[in-house]
Amino acid sequence: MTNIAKFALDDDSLVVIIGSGAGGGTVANELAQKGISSVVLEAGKRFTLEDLKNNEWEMFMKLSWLDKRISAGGWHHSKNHTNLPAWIVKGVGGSSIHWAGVSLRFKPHEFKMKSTNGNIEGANVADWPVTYEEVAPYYVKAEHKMGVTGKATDTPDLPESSHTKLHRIAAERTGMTFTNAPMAINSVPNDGRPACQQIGFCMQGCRIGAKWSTMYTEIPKAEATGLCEIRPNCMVLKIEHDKSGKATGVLYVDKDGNKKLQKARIVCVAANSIESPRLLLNSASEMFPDGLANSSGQVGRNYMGHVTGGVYGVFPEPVNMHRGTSVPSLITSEQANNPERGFVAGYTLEVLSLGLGFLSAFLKPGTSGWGRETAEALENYQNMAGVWICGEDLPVATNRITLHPTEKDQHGLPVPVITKTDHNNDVVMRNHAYSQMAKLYKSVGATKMHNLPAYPSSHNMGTNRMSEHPSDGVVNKWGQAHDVPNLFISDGSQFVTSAAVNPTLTIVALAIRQADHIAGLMKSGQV
Amino acid sequence: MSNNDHSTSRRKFLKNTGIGVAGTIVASTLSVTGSVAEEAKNISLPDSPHVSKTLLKMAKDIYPHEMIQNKYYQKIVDDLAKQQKRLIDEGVAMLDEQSIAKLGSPFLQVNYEPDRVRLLRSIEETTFFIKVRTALMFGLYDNPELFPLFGYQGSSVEKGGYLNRGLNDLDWLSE
Repeated sequence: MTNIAKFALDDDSLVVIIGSGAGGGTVANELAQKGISSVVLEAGKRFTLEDLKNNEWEMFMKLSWLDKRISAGGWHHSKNHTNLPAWIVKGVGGSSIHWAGVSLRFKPHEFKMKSTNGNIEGANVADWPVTYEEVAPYYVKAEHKMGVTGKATDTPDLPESSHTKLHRIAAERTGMTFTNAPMAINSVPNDGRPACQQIGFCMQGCRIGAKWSTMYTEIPKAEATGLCEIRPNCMVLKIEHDKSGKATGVLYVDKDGNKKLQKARIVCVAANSIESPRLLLNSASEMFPDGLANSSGQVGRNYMGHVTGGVYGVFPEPVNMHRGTSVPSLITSEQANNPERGFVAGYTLEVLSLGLGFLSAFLKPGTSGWGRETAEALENYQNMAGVWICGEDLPVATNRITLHPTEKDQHGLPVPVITKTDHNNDVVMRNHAYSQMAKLYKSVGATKMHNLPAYPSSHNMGTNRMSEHPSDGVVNKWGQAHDVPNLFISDGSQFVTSAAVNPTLTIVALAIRQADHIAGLMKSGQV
Repeated sequence: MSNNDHSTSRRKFLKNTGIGVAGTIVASTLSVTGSVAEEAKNISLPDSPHVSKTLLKMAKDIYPHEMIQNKYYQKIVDDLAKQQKRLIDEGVAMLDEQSIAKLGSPFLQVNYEPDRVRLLRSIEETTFFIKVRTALMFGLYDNPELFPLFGYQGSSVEKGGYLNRGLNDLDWLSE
């Protein structure tokens, strides 16, 4: 590239974007394509494809956000994943390096769960201030941007693997609904990136770039316009504002430990659902004593992952689940909202392979996961097949991100505490999923099943939610803060509810839509 | 990836285990990670044969695999005993003390497996046990040399993935 942008710290005409993942990276490129200049501040480093190896633990160490976090509340992470509530990436490209590529739209009813089910005790369910119909055109744009396989872009599905075949036949035998997953992984060469070679290790970063990630799509495209400057290794400490309550700039620390203030016309926060609310809380001031944009008190609240867990069946003959894409297919029979099952909302069963390294850690997390039974289970690795449960997690006000009163991180910022306890709906749903999986796997000869509790969460949502009224949430239907008109939330923290599907496609669709809105506001001089 | 890279990453993980993916077994080691570097300076060789033999016996109770030769277990626990000499020496002494108190002889001389396992269960939350178990978990299951024994094929990118290499060869289920 010949024309990489370099902007001055006192340039106050810029959009400053915090985070470079599915949300931030997409907003940056969408704005750049419209001629709008931005600086992207990314806490992590820049990786190259050569850095991405086919090794689970090596990549875990290389990519993960490992700054100190504390798990609290009733979920098993408080005991078993004490300092790793979430499994997300620190690097240019963010968690779009790690995601598996599953690209499902929310269903229309999943934007209005309160109207659908009424009040649910112990939960803070609300309708989104935006409807499926309003988002649908942006889903189309997102699917084309990301090259989603199948009907979405009229491209072939990825080829069938043994892992998929087992689930397809099991679904046929049990009357469940099976589908190849719509994936943001090229089944044919597309957008200058090659077709998938069925390498596996999708979640360790795609070594050949067949999977969409902002790391090698949106980010370099934005840079190529000469209108976007990416600053890696820059951790944002605080968003500053003026007397009128408008954001004026962002204080950050660069790779050499120097504190710098980047001025801004608009600030977009896209640091994932733990860091985004943490930053707002850390930006408290005399004018905003409870944190920036937090007059509703909702910043950090309604933290959602997905109702989840893993199920691994053991079969009489080899499956070799590790061959091919990590998530090749889906069982979708339980996606509907059908309270007759004893719970509201739905779930998707996503076929998911783990390697031997991760399986040894997650098969039975906690201090008792050793011994002859565990060793024997692992000896059956080759004969195993597995799914990951992706169920709608209810928003609960007390499931939240807070700042630790005394513990500080390497930058002197209070460490985030992630408090979460299952709602009873979550428990009933998870057990329903385990029992459906037992039916499914028995139909194809399973000799044994292992039910795994939730992994550290890669789907993190809801901590700066949208709302129609400023008293109910943090941002409006465009992701614009109710309290601070030139502050936007561009990641999954703006989600109102979590749906029964992976969040990335919706994050990207909302980011494209938000960029359109920002461009309009800038043009008309409203911000 | 070379073996060298691999063991570096594993060491790095072990050093950083406080961040906790493998759960408490990993998270609880946080309290001792601070002393790793300090202890590394104080390595004193040779190892005690008793410590080495006791750790091997313990290792084979933690993750018993007939198919894995002793030398693999031995190297993992001996490396750990060198890296964290004081913790391991004290841990083995504690294990023997409890073994004598509960079973009448040092751990190495307890022949009945269920007795040994019960004893190990009673100390499974100690830092000593967690350190040994974590080292074994990475040393056995994140070790490309041992992958073939489990039918796991590890890295595939250098072989062109599985697109034309057994992606869909499952033939034991009828449609």
